[in-house]
Amino acid sequence: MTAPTESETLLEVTDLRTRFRTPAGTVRAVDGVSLTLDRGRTLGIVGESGSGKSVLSRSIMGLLPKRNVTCEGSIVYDGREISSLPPAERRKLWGADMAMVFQDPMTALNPVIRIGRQITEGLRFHLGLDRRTANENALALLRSVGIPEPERRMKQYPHELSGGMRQRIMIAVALACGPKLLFADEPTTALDVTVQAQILNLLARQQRERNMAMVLVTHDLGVVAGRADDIAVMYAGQIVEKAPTATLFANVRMPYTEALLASIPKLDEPRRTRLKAIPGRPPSLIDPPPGCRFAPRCPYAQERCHREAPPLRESEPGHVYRCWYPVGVEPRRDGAADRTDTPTPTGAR
Amino acid sequence: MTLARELGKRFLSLAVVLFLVTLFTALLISMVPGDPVDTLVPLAESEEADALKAQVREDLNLDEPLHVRYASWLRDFVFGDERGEHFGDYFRVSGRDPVSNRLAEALPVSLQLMVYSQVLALVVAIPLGVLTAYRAGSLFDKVTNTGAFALMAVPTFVLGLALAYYIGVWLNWVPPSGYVPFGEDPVEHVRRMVLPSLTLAAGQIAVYMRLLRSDMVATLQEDFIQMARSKGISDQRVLWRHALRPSSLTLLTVAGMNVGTLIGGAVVVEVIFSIPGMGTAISQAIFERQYVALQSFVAVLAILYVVVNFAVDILYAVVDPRIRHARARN
Repeated sequence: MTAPTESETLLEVTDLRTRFRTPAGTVRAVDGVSLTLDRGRTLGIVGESGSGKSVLSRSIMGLLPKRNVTCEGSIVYDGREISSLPPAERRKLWGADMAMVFQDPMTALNPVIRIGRQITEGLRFHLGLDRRTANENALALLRSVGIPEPERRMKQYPHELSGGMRQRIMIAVALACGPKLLFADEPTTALDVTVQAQILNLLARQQRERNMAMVLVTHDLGVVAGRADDIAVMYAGQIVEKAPTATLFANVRMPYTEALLASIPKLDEPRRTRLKAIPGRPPSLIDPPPGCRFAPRCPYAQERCHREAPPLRESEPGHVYRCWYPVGVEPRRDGAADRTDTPTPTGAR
Repeated sequence: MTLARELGKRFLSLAVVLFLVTLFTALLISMVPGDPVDTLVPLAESEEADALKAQVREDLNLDEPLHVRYASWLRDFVFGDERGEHFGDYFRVSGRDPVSNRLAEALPVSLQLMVYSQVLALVVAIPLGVLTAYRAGSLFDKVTNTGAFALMAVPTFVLGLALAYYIGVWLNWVPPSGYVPFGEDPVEHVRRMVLPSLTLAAGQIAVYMRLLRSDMVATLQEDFIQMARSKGISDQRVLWRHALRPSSLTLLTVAGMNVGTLIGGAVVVEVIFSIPGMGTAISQAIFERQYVALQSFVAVLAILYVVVNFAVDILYAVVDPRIRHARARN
């Protein structure tokens, strides 16, 4: 892995903060996230429901509604600060420069518009193609995402296709105008297990062929393990650990990441082994705990963890984590010996 | 085959609706005090007059009990009388006249009024509904909604009279009453129809707008709207091409059912603006106790109502391909 030169950087996000104003209070859905992504590379963003991973990709793209939402921080795309662009300028990037594949193919395609038009719409809008050329492009796209009988599919409606087919269509829509950056927001969560791998392989192949960067958002570490160059683990609106994939799996630092890994059931375990769920629930993003946000659920949490928020620290080049008492770093101070024993009672703020 | 079955089902429901509606009309009007013969024989009390009235009563079968009269009307309505007339006769002092003649004059006028007001209501309500949903919660949304509520609360006859007076008489922009056939003078026709159509449309605008707004607000939360936006197409295009059609099913249903309300409203509006349509014909038939004519008018409007709602059912399939395919499978 060579160090990226300046021009290889496609996306640089610095201290991004997204807040939702709700009747219950201000939700800090994304709270100070920084990341960089080089051209043609894949960043996996992993986290459980409500960790802010979907909001993060929507914030970077600028897709969130304007009402009751504030988005601060710097987003430099292709050498250009886009966070301050007027909405109309920002929209020009959508589809043409950055595109998104949505989670649920059953609901993300318009039920009353033919497949063909949903694909050609962007082509005609951004590239100004005439109907015939756009149709030809759409056919080629459908073929490249592995849709049989593309001519017939063009005239069909989404409800006439299976979930896997629809996700392929969605990918075709996202790829139509040749974006340089693709956000895949849990692209396989709603699909059958047998189809998941096909869709992920399709995304990987398209990405390679187009030298497109991809942000792969998922709650499943298994999905990103073999596919992402770097992995960022999100918890309660923050990145809690980020590293090149191999480094992350070899030297987990953050207890949350460790718990995520441990919660994956393994085939070689004896039958009826209890699933290792992470106890408790993610904290409220309206009023997060003052210390480490994972502390209430962390088996290693110390007094300091509840009191003081840990900063992002770097353990080796490219590997950052947010923890006072990282996994695998000895000596662990005060009481680290009982790390495998009873977790500190939750809510000890 | 499926089409034949569908049509058969529709025909059956039409028959049931017609039977019930006309039966109730017959029952209701028989309860209204007054005697049609008094209108037809406008003579002072005398033996001669009484004899004449008895004669007329017998001629018109008015001496028969209600169920016999109804059955005879129904028979004529379905099979036609000896002349082949289905709607019976309209009796006047000057003689009798087939109701079909009266229908031929009045029905087209009312249809024009209803179509104009419905088109006007939709043309105003759809953009307002779309824009208020797009700007939900904004000042524009609030003002428009309040205005719509106010409009809904104003009774038709108040609005009609107010428009006729202020715009027709006071400002003198358009004639406050009367009717000119389109074929005679198109410009004058439109000028005369503006106020009645507007009066009839006003209440509908509010209802349609609010319906579309609430469905549209729900649609705009859908994933496929996010998806459409993420393609980078304009908001206008997202609203009109992607969001409107999936949001319009309720609107369509209510617009179809509203034909009933429109007929009721048309009676008032036609009387206020002196338009010789079905409303005027019906109110005249009521005042003159024209049982046969009234039943025929009501039956025709009931047919219209059922047919329009059948058309709406067909339109569902045009608007939503999922319904189209579900139907094709059955």
